[in-house]
Amino acid sequence: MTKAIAADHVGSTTAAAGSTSGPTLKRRRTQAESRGRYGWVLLAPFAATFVLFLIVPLAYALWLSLHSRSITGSQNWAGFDNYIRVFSDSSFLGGLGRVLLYGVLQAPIMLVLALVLALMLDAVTTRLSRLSRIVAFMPYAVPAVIGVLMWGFLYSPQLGPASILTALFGDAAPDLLGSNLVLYSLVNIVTWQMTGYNMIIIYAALQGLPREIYEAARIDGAGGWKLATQIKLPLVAPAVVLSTVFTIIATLQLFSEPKVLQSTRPDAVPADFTPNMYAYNQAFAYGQFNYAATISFVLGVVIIIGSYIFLYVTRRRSGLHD
Amino acid sequence: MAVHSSHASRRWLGIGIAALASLGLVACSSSDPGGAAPGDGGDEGGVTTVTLWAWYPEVQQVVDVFNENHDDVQVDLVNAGVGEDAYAKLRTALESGTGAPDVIQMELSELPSFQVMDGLLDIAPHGANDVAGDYPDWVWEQVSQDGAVYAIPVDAGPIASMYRADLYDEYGLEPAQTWDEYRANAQALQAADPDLYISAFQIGNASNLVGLIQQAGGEPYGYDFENPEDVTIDFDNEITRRVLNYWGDLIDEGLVAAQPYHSTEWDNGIATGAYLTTIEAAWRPGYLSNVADSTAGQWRVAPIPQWEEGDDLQGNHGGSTFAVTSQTDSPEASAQVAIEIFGSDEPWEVGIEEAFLFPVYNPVAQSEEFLERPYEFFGGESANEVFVPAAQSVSPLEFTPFDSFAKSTINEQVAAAIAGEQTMDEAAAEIQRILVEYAQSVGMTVTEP
Repeated sequence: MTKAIAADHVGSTTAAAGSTSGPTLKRRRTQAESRGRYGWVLLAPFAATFVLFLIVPLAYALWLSLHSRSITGSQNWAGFDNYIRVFSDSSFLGGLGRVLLYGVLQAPIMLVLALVLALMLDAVTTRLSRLSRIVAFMPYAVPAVIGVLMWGFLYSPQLGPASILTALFGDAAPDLLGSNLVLYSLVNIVTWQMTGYNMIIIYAALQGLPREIYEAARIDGAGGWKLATQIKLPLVAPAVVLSTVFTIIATLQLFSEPKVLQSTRPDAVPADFTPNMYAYNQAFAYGQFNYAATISFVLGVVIIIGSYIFLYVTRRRSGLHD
Repeated sequence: MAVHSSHASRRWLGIGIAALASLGLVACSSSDPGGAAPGDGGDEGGVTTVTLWAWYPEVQQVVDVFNENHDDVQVDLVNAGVGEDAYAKLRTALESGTGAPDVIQMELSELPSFQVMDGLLDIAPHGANDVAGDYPDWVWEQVSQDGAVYAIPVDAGPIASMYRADLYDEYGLEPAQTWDEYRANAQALQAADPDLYISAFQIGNASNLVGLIQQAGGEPYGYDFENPEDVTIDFDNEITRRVLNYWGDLIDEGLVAAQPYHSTEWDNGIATGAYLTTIEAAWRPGYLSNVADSTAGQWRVAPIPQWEEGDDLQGNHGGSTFAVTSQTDSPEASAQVAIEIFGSDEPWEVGIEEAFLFPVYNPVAQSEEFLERPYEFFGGESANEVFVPAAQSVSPLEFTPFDSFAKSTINEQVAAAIAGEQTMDEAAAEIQRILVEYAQSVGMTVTEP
C-alpha cells in the first residue's frame, strides 16, 4: 500500500515530464540551442579552472607515477615499476587493510546512529528537538585537529576519565591510544565528529518529503514506528546511500585524525598507518614524490571501484537507476 | 543557415574569450612578481629584504636586534612551523621551483637531505669560511665539505643528565657516573617506592636515541656531501645492541618507565616528580621549565653516565643552523643574515636569556660569563659547567640524506620491541635491513661494515 503511494508519486512526475513533447518541440529546440551557446560561455571559466586545477595536476601525477628519481635527482622513465612496487608494498597493503577494518566498524555504527537521530528529530517538533539538533551537529563544527587533541586527553591512561573509572576497581586504565586499541579509538572519534553531519543530510531529506504521504499512511493506520520504518526509511534511502558513499570515500582517505595522534603517539600510529598518511610521508617527509603519486593514484582507483561497487549493489535504493 | 553559422562562430569566439580571460587571470596571479610578497627577497630603495623561516623561541627579538643594526639588509621572519612542518613546506617549495624562503633554520641532521636536492646554496663565496674558527670543529665538519659551506651553525644539544636534586637527596641517591650505577639507582628507587622511576624512556625520540648510541661510541651513518650516492649504514652492531638492550631490559624489569615523547603522560611524570631524571640535550630545559614550572629550582645537571668508568664519551641531540636556500634572489644578503644573525654577542643575550639555547658560537660558548651563568631552573647553579665540556668532547656525527625516514624507522622498530613484538636485537637488525633497502631503492650504493 505504502509503496504504491510512493510509486504513484514518482510516476506522476515522470508523466508530467513526458507530456512536454509535441507541437512546441521545434521552438524549444532552437531555444535550447541558444541557451546551449550561452551555457558554454558561462561554463568556460569553470571548465578552464577545472582543467587547470584538476585535470592538469592529475595528468602531472600520472606522469610522476610513471617515472622514478634517484636521490640525486635524475628523473627516469620507470613504466609500471612503481605500480608493481605498490601492490607488493606491505606498508600500503597493511594500511589499506587497516582502513577497511576501520570502515567496516565505523560506517555502520555512524550511519545507524545518524539515521536514528534524524528519524527521532523528524518525529518530534518541540523546542527540545531543535536544541538536540544543534547539540548533535556541534561536534562537526569543532575543527578535526582540536577534536582529536581533546580526545587524546580524554583517552590518556593516567589523566583521562577512564583512569578515574578504573581506579575505582583498582585496575590500571587501558591504553586506549596503544597500538592494539588506537583503531577503535579512532572509530569513536570520527563517529563523534561525523554523526551530526550525516544526520543533517538525512534529516534534510526527511524534511523534503511531502507530508501528504504521512497523512495517507496515518489514515491507513500506520503508527510512529511503522511510519518511520516503512514510509520514511525507504523514501530517504537515496540520502542514506549518498551518506554511505561519502563515508566510504572518507574512510579510504582517512588522514587528519591519525596524523594528529601520530605527533603524540608515534609508537601506536606509524608513518604508514593509512594509505593517505603513507603517501603524505613519502612525498613530504621523504621527498619521494614519484612513489607518493603512484600510491595516490592507486588509492584513487580503489576509492572509485569501492564507490562504484557500493552504488551498483544499492542501485535500486540510490535513486540513480530504476 | 548564414545566421546559424555566424551564431556558431560567435559562440566559439565567446568560449575562446572566456577561456582566455580565465587563463589570463590565472596566469596573472601565478606570475605576479614576488617583489611585494614575502619569500622572494625584494630589493627596494637599496634595502634588501631577506625572508627567514625559523622556530626558535623568542627569535623575533633576535631578528629585531639584527634589523636595528643593519640599514641595507632587513630580515622578515616567518614562522613556517617547527621542524618537520617547515621541512615539508621547504621540500614542496624546492620541488615546485618557487616559494622557498631565503634563509631557513635547519637541524644539522637535515642538511644532507636538502643539500642532495640542490636546495642549499654554497655560501663559501660569500665569506662563510672566514667565520669557521668561531665554531667547534665537530659542528663545522657537519655543515661543510672541502671548502663548501652549506649552513652556519647556531646551537647544539650536548646530552647530560638532568635530575631532581631534592628527590635524589630524599631517597639517598647520587647522580650516576656510569650506566651500571644508573641501573643501581633505578633499583634502589623502585625498592623504596614502586610509584617512582629513575626516568621514563622516550618512545619516538629517535634523535635522542642516536645521541645515546653516539655516546656509546657508535657511528650509525657515514655520508659526505661530495659523494651523494654513497652511504654507510651501521646499525646492527654490538654498540647499538648494547644501548638498545640496556634500555629494553630496564623497561622490561620495570625499573624505567616508557612513555611517548611529547605525551601528556611523560610531561605529567616530570611535573609531578614520578620521573626523577631525564637524559637530554642542553636545549631541553627551555621546554622542561614550562612543563615542570612548579619544580623549577629543584633540578640539577650531571654529566651523562659513562659505559666504562673514567671514560669521557659524549652525545649530541639536535642543534640547528641557518642555511641559505638555492631559490634566494639575494645570495649575498642572505649569506650575511645567516652568518651575522647569531654571529655576535648581542643576539646571544636574547638566545641564552630568553630562549635557553645552547650556543656553538665560540666567543659566547667559551666565555667565562656563559660558563658561570646561573640558571634559576637549576637552583641558581651553572648548568653550563656540565654542558660546555660535554659539547667540546662530542665526536662528529654524520647523517644520511633520508634522515626523516631513518628516524621513523628507528622509532617504529624500537617501539615494537618495547611492546614485546620483537627483541631489541631483532629491532637493530630490522632497522639495518630497512634502511639499506630504502637507500638502495633511491639509487644509492650502501656500505655495510
